[in-house]
Amino acid sequence: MAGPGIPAYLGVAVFLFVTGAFGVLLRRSPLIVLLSLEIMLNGANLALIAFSRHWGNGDGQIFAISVMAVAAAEVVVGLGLIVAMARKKLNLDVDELSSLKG
Amino acid sequence: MITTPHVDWFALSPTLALLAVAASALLAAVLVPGPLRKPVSATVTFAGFVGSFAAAAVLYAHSADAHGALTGSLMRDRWGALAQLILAGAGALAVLVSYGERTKEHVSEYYALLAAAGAGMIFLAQASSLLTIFLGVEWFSIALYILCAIDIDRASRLEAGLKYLITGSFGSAFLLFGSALVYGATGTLRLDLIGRAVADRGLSDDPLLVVGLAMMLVGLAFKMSVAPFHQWTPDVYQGAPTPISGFMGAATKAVAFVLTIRILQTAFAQDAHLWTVLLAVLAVASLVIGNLAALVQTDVKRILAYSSVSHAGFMLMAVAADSALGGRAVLYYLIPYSAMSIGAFAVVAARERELGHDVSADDLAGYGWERPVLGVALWIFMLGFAGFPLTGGFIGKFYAFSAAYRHGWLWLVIIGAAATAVSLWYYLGIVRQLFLRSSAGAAGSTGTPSAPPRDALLQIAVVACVAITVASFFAVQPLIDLAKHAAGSLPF
Amino acid sequence: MVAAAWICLLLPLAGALLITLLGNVLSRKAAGVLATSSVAGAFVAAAVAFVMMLGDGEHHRSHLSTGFTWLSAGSFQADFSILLDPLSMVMMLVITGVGSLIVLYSIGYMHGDNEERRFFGYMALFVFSMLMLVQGGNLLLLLVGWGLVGLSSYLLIGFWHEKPSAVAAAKKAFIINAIGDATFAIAVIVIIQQTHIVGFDALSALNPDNHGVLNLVALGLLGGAVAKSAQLPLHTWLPDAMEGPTPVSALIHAATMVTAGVYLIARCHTVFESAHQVQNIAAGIGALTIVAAGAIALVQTDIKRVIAYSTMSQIGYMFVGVGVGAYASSMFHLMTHAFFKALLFMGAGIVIHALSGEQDIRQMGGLRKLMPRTYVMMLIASLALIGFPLTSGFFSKDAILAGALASGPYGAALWVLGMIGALLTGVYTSRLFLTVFHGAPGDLVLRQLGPDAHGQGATDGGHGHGEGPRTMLIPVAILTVLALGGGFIQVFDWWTGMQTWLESVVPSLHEPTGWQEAISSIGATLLGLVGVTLGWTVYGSRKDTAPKPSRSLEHKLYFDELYDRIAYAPAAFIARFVTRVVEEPLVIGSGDLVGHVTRGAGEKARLLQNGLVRSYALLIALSFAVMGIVFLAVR
Repeated sequence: MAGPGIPAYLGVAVFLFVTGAFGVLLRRSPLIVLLSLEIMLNGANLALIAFSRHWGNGDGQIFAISVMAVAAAEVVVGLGLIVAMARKKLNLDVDELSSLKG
Repeated sequence: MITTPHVDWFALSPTLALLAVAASALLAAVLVPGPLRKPVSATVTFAGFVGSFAAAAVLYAHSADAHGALTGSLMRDRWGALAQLILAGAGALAVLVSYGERTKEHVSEYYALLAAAGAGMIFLAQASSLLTIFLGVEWFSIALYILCAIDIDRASRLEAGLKYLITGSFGSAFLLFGSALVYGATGTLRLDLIGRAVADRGLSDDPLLVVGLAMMLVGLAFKMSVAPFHQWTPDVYQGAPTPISGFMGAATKAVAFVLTIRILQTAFAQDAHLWTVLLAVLAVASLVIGNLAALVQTDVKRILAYSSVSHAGFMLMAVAADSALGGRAVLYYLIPYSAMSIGAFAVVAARERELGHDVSADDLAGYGWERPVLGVALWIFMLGFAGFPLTGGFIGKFYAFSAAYRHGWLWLVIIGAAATAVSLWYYLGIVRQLFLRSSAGAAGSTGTPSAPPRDALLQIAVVACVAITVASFFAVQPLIDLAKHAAGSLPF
Repeated sequence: MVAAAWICLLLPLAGALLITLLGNVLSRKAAGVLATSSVAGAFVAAAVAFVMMLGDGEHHRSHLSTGFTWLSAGSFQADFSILLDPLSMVMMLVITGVGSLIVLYSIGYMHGDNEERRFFGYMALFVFSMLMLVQGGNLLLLLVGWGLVGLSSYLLIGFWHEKPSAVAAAKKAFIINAIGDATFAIAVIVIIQQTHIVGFDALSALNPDNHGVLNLVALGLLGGAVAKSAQLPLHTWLPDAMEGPTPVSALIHAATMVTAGVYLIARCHTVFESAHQVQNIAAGIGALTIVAAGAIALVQTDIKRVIAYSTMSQIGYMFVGVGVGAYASSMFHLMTHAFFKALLFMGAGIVIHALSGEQDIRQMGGLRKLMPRTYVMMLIASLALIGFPLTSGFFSKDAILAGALASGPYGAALWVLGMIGALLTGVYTSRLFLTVFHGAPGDLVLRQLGPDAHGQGATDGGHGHGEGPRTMLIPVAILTVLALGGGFIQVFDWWTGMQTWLESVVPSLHEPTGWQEAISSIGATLLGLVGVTLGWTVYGSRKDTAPKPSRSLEHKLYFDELYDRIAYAPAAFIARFVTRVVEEPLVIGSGDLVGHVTRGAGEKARLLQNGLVRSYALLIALSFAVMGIVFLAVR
């Protein structure tokens, strides 16, 4: 049974990536920003898996699984930093991270 | 029975040495009693970087013919080996500089992460598949995110860490999505196979490939801190612990450039008409923005950060030349540049430890008379950054310029020369502070009894950096031969 | 012989490094001794090499010795090598010989200064740089030495870094020299690009028919020479450079560095001979400088500035010499000038030292009785400067003038200017000498050296009064002998020591005839004496009219005004013109205007960096959008 073709998968992947990117650009809570970054990576994962099926080799799927591991590590670090901020009673707002500038 | 691919453990040895060290340093955090933790983990990490350096040297000697290792996802070649030598050297110096840092907590973790970041970079220097490239980039980046914020009680450290994390992940996401698109266009992750597929199937104008290339370049330009993707650099360099800033300035830049050239030359040689022009434009942007912004800074670490942006511009000129000469130029350039970067940040670190706060240009007034060794060293680094003769910086710039000139880009050379002239302003400004200003204004904060004793390890590191900076001018021929052989392993 | 030359080059470097590295371990005295012995050792090595070179056949005196290959790419090869030939030999002997005497002198002069070690480190570094310049075996090393000399001169001028005027003078010297360095570097790059060799053989490998390239190269070299030798229009840094300690003025700004331009032109004479117009320009610049600097020297009141302008004027003679092809005569004058000008500076140093830093000649006077030894030695130096018969300056200056006269009608015009210069030299020299040593002692002199102040005379050995310690007097005595007798190396065409010595490297273009020699000698001597008489009538008369000092003072002022009308005003006009056209736009202008614009742009760039992560991400995303669209459009 023929499902949707590559363009459809790629379309969704791009949609996810752009959604994530806008999330990073527009949201001010660091938690949501981390979430948006994950969505961007997942968009890429979807594209990888779709292409993997298209080419009939497993490379893309292996790549996608590795990306998940990496993303998890990244989130751990990000959450750790956010917790540290909360402990210091800093406002959870990325726009307030602007003492370093110029 | 499952057939496993052949693993070239020898090719992996520089990475493995550092990974082992990272693990031992982490163990030391638990097993070694408090007062001994710092010396033990620092010694182990230093030994790891030295071991990695030695392994890379042997690897260089025994890799005259480039070939794939680990089913082609790593390349065992001299290009990677020479880069590993630079990275391991930078790491070893960074350990020496870090030792005097006065943090009480997380000392072992600090060194473990430094070793892990070094391992990631050293791994990345050999990476030759989109998968290993992404893994390597994230590997060292995540370690650096934590290192930036390791001094968790200081808000500026936290800010630097989180900023670096967000922008870094944003850039990595572009790199990843670009990789996915390139994979979609060619059906393979290996750089050499991508290059062959593009050539054989005439994919050089395939929209997927072209957009994928653009996205990958965004991710790489971010790591190279090339304008306009550089904005994280000054903030993070200023906020991070100073030895780490020096390490990032040297090693991150080195590995990003080495990797970029490998990717562009191996996989995207057919699209040279696109990326050469783009990189030339980015080089100009970096030269202009880096140098102009450095003029108006007061914090020395920010000055050095913007200077690193402008140096990325100089090196990018050589990359954009798309020639073996350009590749050699970048490899040569990285040697004195890494030494100067680590050394300059080390002197700032020393001053910072004396003052107990961030170092502004005014805080260096008369420092050359107070601490002659460090003062003269910083003077030499500034002259080297500015490209004065008798330092490797001169030959590096000359080499990069001649690569661009050979490519027929005289205009780029002229812009480069003008940028050099502007850069004299702030480099010599620091020299003037060091020697021609009296420290009377800062008397309250210097020479007080609380000033720490001279840090022998830091001085050794600084002297080593000076030696490399100057020796790379005099011993230019052997270094160029090294770079020439290394560049010979890429299909320019 | 080659080994001796390497030792000669590296000893001062070793001295500089040792003094720097040992730091406080070394006592202040030891630093001076170390610097002196390293430079003196270099002189011994140079002398050994000289004696050995004498043993070589006349056409086998050129030795190129390669230390190691610095860079080789294809046919292009750059070595770290030294060239030892009669030309570099002369320079080596002058640099290390005069240099060691001056460093010895500085031990006494700098005694008690806060940072003596640094001073001696810089001095040794300077001698090394200068040796590098003259011994460098190829154009690149010559350029390196050129730059190093500029750097060490910058360090030494600004040695008293707590003095703002010294720092400003150092900066000015550095920037103006950088202009010359840049044109010189351009010339070298053009040469390498044309010939693909960096050795001095590249100079003769340039295509003689390609006049554009030849002229460009020659102009570039000339630019470097003019800046380094303080000739018009890049001369303004030299008088200001007198802010440095006096031994520095003696070594760098009289004996060695400022003559590097003369050496450069002699070394590159093949290019200049092919680019004939440029060589004429060089001679013309020299001749104009002789007159302009001589005129300005007439009205200066600072003792060191008078000597500085005199130096410019004398180097002008050397430029005329190399410009008309009388290379040997120029080198001869370079040598004798090193003797008597270093001596003048040292004498001035002793006077300044004795008067506790006073440099204004109007405050001096009547020092003849109080400083008899200094008086004699300054007298000899002044006579040599004027070109009094049988002193060293007599033979060398006349040789240049005769060479100019022999070279044709253009040379004859230069000869006339040189003659005017001889007259001016006579006037300003006698003015300086008589004002300082004759007449009635001024208040200041009496206070410092008069009978009341006696008892702490020459024996206090230190920073005190009198004529200085022995370390200052010995070098002065040696130089006095040299200034007096150093000219007998070459006596007209009866005994042409210098000429023969240099003939195989830089053959002179013209051979002056007997009557040209005679008319130059007699003319220059007579004009010099006329100048002296003029000076004597004005300034020497002061002792007769001592009871009425105000009248004579007016009298003197009247003459100063006369000079001002007829000589100084035009010269100063030229100087002001140069300041406005060359110095302000290039030196100060680059600071103000360009700095302003770039800093403004920097402030703009700073606004972009607002510290907000989200805006950084936005810039990344936007840049990507542009990149992607462009890539898709042009793919």
